[in-house]
Amino acid sequence: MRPTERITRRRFLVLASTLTGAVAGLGLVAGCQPAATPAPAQPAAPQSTAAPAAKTKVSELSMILFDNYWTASLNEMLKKYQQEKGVTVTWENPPLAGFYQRQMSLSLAKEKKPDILAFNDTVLSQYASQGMIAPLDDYLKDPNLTGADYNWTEFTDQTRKAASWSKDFSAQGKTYALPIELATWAYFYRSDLIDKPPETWTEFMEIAKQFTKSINPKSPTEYGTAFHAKALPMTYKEWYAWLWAYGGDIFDAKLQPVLNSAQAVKSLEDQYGLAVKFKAVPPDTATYDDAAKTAAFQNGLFPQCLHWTHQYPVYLDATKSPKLAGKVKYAMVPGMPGSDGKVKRFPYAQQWMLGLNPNGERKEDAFKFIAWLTSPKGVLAWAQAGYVGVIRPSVLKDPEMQKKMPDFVVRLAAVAIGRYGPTYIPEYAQIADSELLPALSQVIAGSKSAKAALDGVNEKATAIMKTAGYIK
Amino acid sequence: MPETPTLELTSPRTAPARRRRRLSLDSALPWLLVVPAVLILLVFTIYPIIYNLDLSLRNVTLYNYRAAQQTFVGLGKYLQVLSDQEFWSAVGATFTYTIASVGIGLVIAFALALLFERYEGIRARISPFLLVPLMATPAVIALAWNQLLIADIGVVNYLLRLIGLNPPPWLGTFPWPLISVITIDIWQHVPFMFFVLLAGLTVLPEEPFEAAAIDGASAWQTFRHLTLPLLSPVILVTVIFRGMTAFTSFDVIYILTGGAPGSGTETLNLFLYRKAFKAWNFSEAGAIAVLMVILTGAIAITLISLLNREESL
Amino acid sequence: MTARRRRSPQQRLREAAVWLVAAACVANVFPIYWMFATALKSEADVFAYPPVWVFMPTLDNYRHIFTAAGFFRPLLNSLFIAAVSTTAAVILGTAAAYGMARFKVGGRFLPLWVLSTRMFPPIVIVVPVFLLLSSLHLLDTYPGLIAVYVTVGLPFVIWLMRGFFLEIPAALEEAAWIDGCDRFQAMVKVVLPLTAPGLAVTSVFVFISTWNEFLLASVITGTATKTAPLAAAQFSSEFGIQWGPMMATGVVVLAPMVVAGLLAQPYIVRGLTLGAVKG
Repeated sequence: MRPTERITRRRFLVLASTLTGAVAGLGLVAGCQPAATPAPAQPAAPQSTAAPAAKTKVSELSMILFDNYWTASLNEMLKKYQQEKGVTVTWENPPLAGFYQRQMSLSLAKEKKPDILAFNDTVLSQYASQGMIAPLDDYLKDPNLTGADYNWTEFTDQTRKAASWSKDFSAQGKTYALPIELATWAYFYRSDLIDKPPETWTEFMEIAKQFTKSINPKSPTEYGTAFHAKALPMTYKEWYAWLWAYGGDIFDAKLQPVLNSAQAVKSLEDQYGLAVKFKAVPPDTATYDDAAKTAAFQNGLFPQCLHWTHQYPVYLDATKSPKLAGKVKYAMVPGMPGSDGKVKRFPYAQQWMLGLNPNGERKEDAFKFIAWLTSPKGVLAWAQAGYVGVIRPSVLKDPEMQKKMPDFVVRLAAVAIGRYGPTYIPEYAQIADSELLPALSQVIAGSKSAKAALDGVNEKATAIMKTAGYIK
Repeated sequence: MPETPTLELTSPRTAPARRRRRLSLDSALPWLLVVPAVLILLVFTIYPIIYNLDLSLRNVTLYNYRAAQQTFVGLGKYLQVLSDQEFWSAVGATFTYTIASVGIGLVIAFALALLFERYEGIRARISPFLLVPLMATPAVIALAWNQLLIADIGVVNYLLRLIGLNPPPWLGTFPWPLISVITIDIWQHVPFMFFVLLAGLTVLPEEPFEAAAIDGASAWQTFRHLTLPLLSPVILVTVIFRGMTAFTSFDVIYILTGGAPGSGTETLNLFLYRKAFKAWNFSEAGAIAVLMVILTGAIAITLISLLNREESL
Repeated sequence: MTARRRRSPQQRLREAAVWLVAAACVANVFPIYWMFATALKSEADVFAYPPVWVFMPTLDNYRHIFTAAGFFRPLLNSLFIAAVSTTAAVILGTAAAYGMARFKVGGRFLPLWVLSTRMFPPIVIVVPVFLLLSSLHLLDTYPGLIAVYVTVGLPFVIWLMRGFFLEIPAALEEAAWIDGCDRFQAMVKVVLPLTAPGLAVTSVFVFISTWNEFLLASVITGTATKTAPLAAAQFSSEFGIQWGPMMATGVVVLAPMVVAGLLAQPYIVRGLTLGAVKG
């Protein structure tokens, strides 16, 4: 056995003083924090002095935007900008999975870089209301910065509205971004199996059951359809096409959340019923993101699904989808008959945009670049480089481009009818991502009924809207 | 912990020269050695825990972090967290996960250790294979299993169909995702428990067992009354260390299921992560962190005192 | 430990059973094997159903991840970060361990406190560390990441090395002191050489755990410092999951760790229990 430890007076003193020192050091570190928090408010001053410095020729800009189907063509555009204007744009392109986290970290630390930030309409109001992006109105008025032929008014009202925000939700908000992409949903189906695309969700459900082996043993496919259900924003964006068609909505006209209305509950019961009740979707649909759903469709696991319209080149390409080539067609998303008997469809639409970091030191030059990229000429060149996500009407109408990109006709229609989320409410993103999303995921996993889940979401959403002061 | 008994070297005054150098670098050496490491640990472990406490009493989100609107809310965030059904479901998932992984793993590992104890040759041959999952990067393990578990073309389901079974929704509906991640955790960590228990078994004294054999004790009696009590310190260490890794496990669940609450795999780790880096609510995350520290602190103190008692045996 | 002497047929039966279980243990590496195999498959073979077991291997997936997919940078990041933080953690930790083991600095309390810092789930420090590094502008920088990883490695080094130091008879240092060495010289010239194997094993374990770390990396790295496990996990595209290249990244991340683990095998038990059980 070890000798017992003798505690001499000297050792005791040493130990005690160390402990005291450690605690003091600890207090110092802890004490610094609250003081450090307000401090960064000061560096606001140098912003105004940065303007004269901008006169010097800028040869480098930085941008953050996640990797997507635009990557290859956008890289070509960056090369082109370098050749034309001598300005190198360094593009930080994390995958979407790490994108928001990265951008938020940069914003939190008030970094001067990157000069250019990217966001969609869902978060624009949140970013704008918190001063995380700079208003662009002054720049937009200056033809020296936009170029003479910019034609901002050519964008649809809906597009421009989604790029702007004002505190009182008026139409005349400040503009915070220039749009680079329109994303909306289409209905993709195997034309070798399905003769006529469904008009309504009722028909869609019938087809789904018909192509599910456990329901119809003669079905050539294992399952009838699949959903994006991996707790990512796509999950609720897909549901909205059902929700709106059934006559439900997220908020009523007075901004009261109505996510548990009878129509809303019915639409979710029907959509996820295909998974929970009829087992007409692959069992791991709850883990499907874009890539997994694409892979399963490419493998012929189901004959129909909703997907972003920009996915069509992938499905039509024989090298990317060898089993699907020549067999996939797409149509408008199904809807439901309205009171006049006509089918009303509500494909969800959103737009990705580029905006400016308010702490950036080269805002004018950064604006020049995003204006160049989104100008009629720029978008045309980008589309010619293979970009399909175009949102500018004049390029979508270009007869040459329509011949090359059959999707542009559909897209033009989508620009007109696609329905955006209630993104003008800064709290909407929080309600959708932190409350609605987990609830939907519980419904598809079978651990909660549609009614119970939506009741819960509505209660939380109401509380959030009350705290924010919109409703009483 | 069996430490080799050592002599006290705190005051090496045996050599008379020492006394004269009391204020020199030499006498300060022990402190110089320890202080840098302790300082770093303070900054990155104690400070965060205190800072969590500070966060949890305010209302700090990403959006108001810089602004002055970080109102003091007292215990409001704790009430919010404790009344949140998702929090309790995360607590449930965490304990289910930890207890199932450790419990089932312990039984399997113990059985293997007893079986291989006397077969040193075979043991040496399989050890490298057992080591592979143990050393493998958890994130990569998640990817490897993800591929095995794909519903339509995954190998696991192929093999199940081959023997005529209908594969369950491994990553789909509750409770299968939880079962899947627990299985993977067991798969990865049984080797750890096996190696540790085996190490314990091989150093047990021979005499009591020989005596038991002479007395005609059955295998079960020997196991129950000799092996188990003699091995209990080692079993305790195994359970503590395994329990720690299971309780803190994040990577595999995060990558495989994303912890979506719907699939029942959202453990406290993933719940906190979601509140902090998806909802950007630092205060709520802070409150969860403090609750977790209290919880693990209570468990750790109990276990450390148990360990200490074993050590003094 | 059961009775030693048994009759022969029973013994043989038992041995057969042991071999059977041994085979099952070997089959345990199947998920890893399958990853290796997938990484060598062509795209057609990856998506084939029923799965193909015999196929023509190709290196296309590896070529892809190092050229088109840019996996080289994360790999170098991981190597650099793991190497530097391991070195720093081992130096600082060994020093502290020696102080605690030989001079009983902090008595019994300090080592236990060090151990307790390892018992908290890393997730609880993630938010404060994120905010701390953010206000220091250290997110997505090497110094920030390395500082954090040194901290994670320290308790491990301290406990393991403390155990190794306690095993060395104190008489050796006393002899050195009498020969005129001061404490520092005694430590460097006499004790450290004796613990060299322990030092090596500790380094290997710290390196492995740093390399394998995911949670902290996912929060405090960005494009510049992204580590290899993170890059592997985020490896997917909108064109469907590319299992081949994804598994190739997995192999590249995992293989060095498995090799390192095999090297440290004799010390595995001791390493993984922080010296609580000596294998």
